[in-house]
Amino acid sequence: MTASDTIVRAVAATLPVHSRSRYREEWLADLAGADELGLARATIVGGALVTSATIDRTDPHVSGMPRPVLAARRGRWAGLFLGTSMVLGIGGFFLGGSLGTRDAAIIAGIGTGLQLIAFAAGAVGLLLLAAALVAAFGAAGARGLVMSAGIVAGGVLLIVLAMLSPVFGMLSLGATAAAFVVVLAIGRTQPGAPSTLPRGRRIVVALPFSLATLAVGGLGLAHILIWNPLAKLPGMTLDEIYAGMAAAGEGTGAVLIIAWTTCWTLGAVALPVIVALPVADARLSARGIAAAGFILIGATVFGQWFAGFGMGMGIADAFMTTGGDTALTGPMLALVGQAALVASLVAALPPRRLQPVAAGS
Amino acid sequence: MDALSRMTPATADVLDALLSSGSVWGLRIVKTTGRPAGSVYPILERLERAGWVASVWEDDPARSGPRRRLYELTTDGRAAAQASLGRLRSSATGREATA
Repeated sequence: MTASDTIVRAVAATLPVHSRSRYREEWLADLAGADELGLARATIVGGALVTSATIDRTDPHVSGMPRPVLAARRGRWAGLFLGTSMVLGIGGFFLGGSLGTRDAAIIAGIGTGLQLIAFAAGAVGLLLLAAALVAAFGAAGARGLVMSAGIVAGGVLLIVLAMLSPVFGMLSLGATAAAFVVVLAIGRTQPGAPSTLPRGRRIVVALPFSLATLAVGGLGLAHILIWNPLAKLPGMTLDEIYAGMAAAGEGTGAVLIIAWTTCWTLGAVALPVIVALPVADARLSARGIAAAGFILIGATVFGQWFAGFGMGMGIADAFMTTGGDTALTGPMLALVGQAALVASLVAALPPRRLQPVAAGS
Repeated sequence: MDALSRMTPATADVLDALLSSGSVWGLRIVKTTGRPAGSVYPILERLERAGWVASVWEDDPARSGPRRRLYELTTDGRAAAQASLGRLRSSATGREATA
């Protein structure tokens, strides 16, 4: 295989799946016949590059699907990237606390890394959102370029504003909502039925998520009631801490803790039960169950921050400490929660993979 | 069939090459017109998408490896190409006469 062959294969790989094999074979045949016509192979490489750059990827003949379906597929990808940006951006608020110097530096480093990923994901998401809107409104060519430029300019403005404010994740909320509006408005998201699972396999897929939820909830409970109090007041026993809080008239926020524990316990028990219901027979795929499971884990961690708020403030008021997390398990659980929420987006949003089309006709 | 948004000299050359042949290999149009593939390939893609041109794979059992793509004007495309080139030539003749 020559360098020209490799390049045109690579260029063809950038085309929509529907058109890829046709152009790859056509360009390879042209390369093979270039000598016969006395043409330079470089001109064919150039032709492939220009075609790839100028072809209207929203045209149904090129994409192999109606524009509304293409718009919805792009909108799903946009939703994934913008949603990831939102989760990681907002998640930064839950990584703080009053950690020791070394732990704080590590968590701050991780937090900065996640903010950079959120920034990049937001930028990619905006471009995909522009592509989705261009497909939705059939705005190829100059009109599409103007529309894309407007969306990207708006996105850049958002990002600049975000750099002036710590509320970066919140700023992508509107764009995320817009991506989903495209998906919902267009409606025709997924041709074909999802690949559903039989009841036994649905339960098998759901069970690990139930166990993980119970584990994460249990760890969160131990963090609120044991590890964080001990970390906040080194040298004191738990009995001394709780006695001191009671003597100072400070509560532990027990109602919130019990409510939160009830929620994640019920959720963990309900997940395999719900997926086993007959109504789920023709509806639930492995991806759907995984998305629900990851959301359950993420929501458990998200709720833990609120459940532990009363306890943290009670200790702070009774012993004149700070109210934030001191035990490293707090930010570690927050990271687990963010990872679970991003995983739920990855499981739920990408469109189904397209099968390559043979260059038959 | 869709109207072309623009009729460039390169597009006219490609249409001319298609009119003077039946079913023709895409790369041969590059050779005939003397224009780079970077011009001809996108024009063929645009003409095909607009319905002026249809393309099929060459059916030549004697040749192994990847198949060549053959292009041909559709019935409507042939009529439209003749009309477009006719207009171009008459306007060019008019400009020469004026000059």
